[in-house]
Amino acid sequence: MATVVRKKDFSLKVLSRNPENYRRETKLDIHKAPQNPESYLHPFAIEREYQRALNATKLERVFAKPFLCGLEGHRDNIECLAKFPTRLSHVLSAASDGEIRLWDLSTKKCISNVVAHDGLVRGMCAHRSGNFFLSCGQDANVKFWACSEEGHVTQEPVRTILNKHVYQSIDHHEKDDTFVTCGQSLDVWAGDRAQPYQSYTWGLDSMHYVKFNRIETHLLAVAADDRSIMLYDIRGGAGVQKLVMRMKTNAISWNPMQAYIFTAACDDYNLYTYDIRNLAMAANKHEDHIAAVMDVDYAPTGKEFATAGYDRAVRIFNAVEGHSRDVYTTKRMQRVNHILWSMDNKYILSGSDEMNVRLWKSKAAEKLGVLKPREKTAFNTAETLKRTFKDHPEIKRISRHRHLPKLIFSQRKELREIKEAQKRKESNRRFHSKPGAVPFQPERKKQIVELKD
Amino acid sequence: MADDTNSMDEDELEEEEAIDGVAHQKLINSLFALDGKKKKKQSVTLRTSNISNNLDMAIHASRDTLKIHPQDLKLKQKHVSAQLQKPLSALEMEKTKRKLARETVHSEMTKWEPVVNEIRSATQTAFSNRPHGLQMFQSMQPKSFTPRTPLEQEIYAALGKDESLVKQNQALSVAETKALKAMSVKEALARRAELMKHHTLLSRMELKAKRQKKIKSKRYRKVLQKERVAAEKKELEHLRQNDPDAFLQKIELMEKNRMEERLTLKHKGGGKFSRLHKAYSKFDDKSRDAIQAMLEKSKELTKKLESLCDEEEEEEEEVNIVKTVESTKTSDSFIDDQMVDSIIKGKFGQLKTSTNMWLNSTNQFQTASTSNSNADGKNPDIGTCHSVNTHTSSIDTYTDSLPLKVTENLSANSEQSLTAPDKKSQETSEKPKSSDVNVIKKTSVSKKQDKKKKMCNESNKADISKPVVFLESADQLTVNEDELKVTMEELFEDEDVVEEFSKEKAEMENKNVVKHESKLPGWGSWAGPDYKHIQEKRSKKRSQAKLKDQKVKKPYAPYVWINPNKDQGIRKLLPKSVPFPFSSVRQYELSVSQPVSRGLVPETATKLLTKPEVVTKLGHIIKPLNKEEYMSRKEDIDMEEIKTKSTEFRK
Repeated sequence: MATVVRKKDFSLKVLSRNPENYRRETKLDIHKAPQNPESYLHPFAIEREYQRALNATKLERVFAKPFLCGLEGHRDNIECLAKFPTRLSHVLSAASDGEIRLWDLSTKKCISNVVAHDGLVRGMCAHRSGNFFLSCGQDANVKFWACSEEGHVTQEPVRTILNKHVYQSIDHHEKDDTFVTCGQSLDVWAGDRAQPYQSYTWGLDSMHYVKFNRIETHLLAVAADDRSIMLYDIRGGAGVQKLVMRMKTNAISWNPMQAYIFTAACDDYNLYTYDIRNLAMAANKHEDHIAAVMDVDYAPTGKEFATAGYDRAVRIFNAVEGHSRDVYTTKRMQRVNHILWSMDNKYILSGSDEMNVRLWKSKAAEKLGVLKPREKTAFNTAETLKRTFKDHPEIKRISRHRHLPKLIFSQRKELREIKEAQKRKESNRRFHSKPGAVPFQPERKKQIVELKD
Repeated sequence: MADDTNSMDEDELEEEEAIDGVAHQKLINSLFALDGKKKKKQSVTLRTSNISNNLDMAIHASRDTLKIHPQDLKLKQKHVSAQLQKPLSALEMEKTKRKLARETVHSEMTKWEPVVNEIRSATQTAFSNRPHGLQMFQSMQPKSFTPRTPLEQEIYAALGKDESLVKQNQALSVAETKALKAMSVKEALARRAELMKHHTLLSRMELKAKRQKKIKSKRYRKVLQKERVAAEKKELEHLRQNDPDAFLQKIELMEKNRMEERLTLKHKGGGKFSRLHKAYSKFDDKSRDAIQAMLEKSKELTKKLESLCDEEEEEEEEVNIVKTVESTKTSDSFIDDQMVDSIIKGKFGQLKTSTNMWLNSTNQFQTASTSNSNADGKNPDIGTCHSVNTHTSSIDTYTDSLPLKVTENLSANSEQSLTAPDKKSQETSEKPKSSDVNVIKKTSVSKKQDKKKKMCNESNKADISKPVVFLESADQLTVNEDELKVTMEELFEDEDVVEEFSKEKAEMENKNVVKHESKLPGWGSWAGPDYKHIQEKRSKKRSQAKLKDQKVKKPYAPYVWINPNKDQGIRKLLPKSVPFPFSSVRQYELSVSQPVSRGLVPETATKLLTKPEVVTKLGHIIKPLNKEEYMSRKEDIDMEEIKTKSTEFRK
């Protein structure tokens, strides 16, 4: 009734706000949107976040284009790759015809090339100063090469060491002016000497891969042809330990952040991570390749490593996980023999049989270049969301999905079946024999034949 | 150990004395005889140490106490080898070398363990050793100030020794280096965290105090007051016994307070002042009298109120009668309602809210109806008005017997019922009339089913029928509460709702039942290129498992149907088992339940929650760990610790 009476002096009330609260100052500003983070105002927060995570994973797969370019120019198989400890954009590659090329990654061009050896170039590594690099070849020479800041390599070696037998691998010390070569024997060279100042042998088989520990710089890991991995301490006169496995180890990489961890790429399609204090059992077994693993290189962060497979695929593993997080393949890439992870954790280089060096992104969907702060926060949020919801089936399915070559796909399936059959057989044997007659053996111990002291 | 050394010392002494003469031996023997244990030891040591040189004396010495054993006399041949030891074979040599190397490597590597563990467990690792911000280089640094005038020199002499001054060729001042030495970053962070914690605790206390200050709850205040009064009482008693002067002063102060209080008009009942005076009345006659007077006054007042109430009740009954008979004038009823309101306020304190709600609703209705009548010209709402008034009357009469809940229900329901026909009346003028009649008829106990059905056909059947039922029951029951509860059958007597439901339920259940395979084995499982053996097997297994589930499930109550397929769509999207690092579903749910996006949490929280695991800088070379950085620093700290410990020992 009261309202009826009042109808004459009827007034309409309207919301009025200060336009400064919602109007942006310039056209390029962000639209101001009032936000209230009170949780009761967002009853569907989790659902929305799930949807965001799902979208982010889908987008990740959309943008996953890891292949950047192929560095073409070599006229024979790629024999080795090397990176400089002080330069990001320069990378070395050597081919079977004895040619060494220096590439500039920013321009994706070859800066200079040298015919270094007669025949294969067996090994190559950069000097710790970054101004030289060393190479050893089939012609039984070890050569020093100087390269300028711009990446120009002198056509004549700075120094040549003539040897009696061929060295198969070479690596330079992280801090001292020392390098190590391996072949018939493991030789440690220092300074300008023409003779090695230390020479080790353990057994008769020749060694084909050597790598210095990057933290405890006096430690060495060597892979030999008798399917063994050996540890040496160059301060002492003898080796430290020798581990014999069922299959040959092709390459070794030390974790650059964890002093006592290294990963070995093995001929049995797997990689094994070892803690050198306990070689009797691998710390982890990484499987997924369907052929021999030819090379392995840790990311400088020590959290991941990339592997080169004889199955024409590059795989990336989280250092603590048993299966790869990503696989890179292309139609034309043949057997991958060498792999490198760049020092800024952004790129991966692979050298394969068909004379190409390929440049990949280390994270397939990562946006390269400088990010705006807003982009950064958006990416960070997406990453966090993906991580929190990674176990939800839909998200898991999408993030795991890869289109693989038919060969790899079918071969993996077959391998899986073989493994299952083996397991079944073992369990059957265990079931039908005396208790204790068929002991359980952990998967991480199976590859080990013997541990020699 | 200590004993052994003692005995050894004694041995040496003994040796010398044995050389000196046998006479001393007796004395020593007697000394040894004091302790039986030592005696024996003595003999043994003699055997081993002195046998070669002075065997005779040794035997003499032990003659008194021990027999000479044949082995005492045996001379031990000294192991004299003129030849050098054979060197180890090359193989053995290498083995020992390797062993040594292994041990050293093992110990060295174990030193890295804390570092590695830290790296592995870190939530965020930033890889950049590049210095932040600006860096001053030598050539750019300003020349150091040199004082020239005497005043400057004087000032410099006074201040120049200050430790916080940065000297040339030094990056840090003395004070800064001291501070750096005194506290590592970790310690500083820990200290800061501690301070923050303290600060938050303080602020929390402050907030709590503020909050408590603002509490309006009478009960809480009463409790507080009670405590305070009790404390004061105690104190007063204490003063009376121990300190009469202070007691008197206190009483005086109270008197003063009382006077002040009296000046204001807050002195009835539960005021602070009156309560205090109740306490004091034990000791003070005046105040006792005053309180007595006050009580009498209050009694008088209450008496008066009772008589008033009686009168009003009578009035109320009259009003009800008036209402039931006519009450077409809305304004009249409005006034009546107000009166009723006032009465209820006076008498039924606890029912006040419910009836108020009711009354408010009637008020609303009345305003609405008047507006309607104004608009239409006709008066289709009169009937409803009737019903409303009848409602009020029934409520008023039964408020004594009905529990609070029922009345609340009533008011709420009636509100709905009122609004519903009201809307109807706006649409069509004919229909509501019938419904209104309906309502009225229902108030009189007779039931006519056909009209009821009409009611039910209307859209708001539940809303309308409910209050009616309640009213009926209220009519019947007046006293008995139990009869208020109406079964579903009674409610939907004419509709067979229950049967319908059970039919639907059975249908749904049949839909979900997995049929048992009645085919013969092999039927339908064709061979051929597309034949998938494994999948079929799986599906069979699944169906069997489902069957089992059905058998196991207990049937729930007959009037409940829970759709088992309701969450099927969502279930597909949820993880089937608890993922690895989590041990329980709850733990996992908690980990997922924290929103991180912008807009759902504050900006700073988003930044903290979405920290990337690895931070790298564009174009920055990540170098492997530097041993010197980690190990030398730690060794320095160890050395310092040792030093400080040693100084402590000296003190």
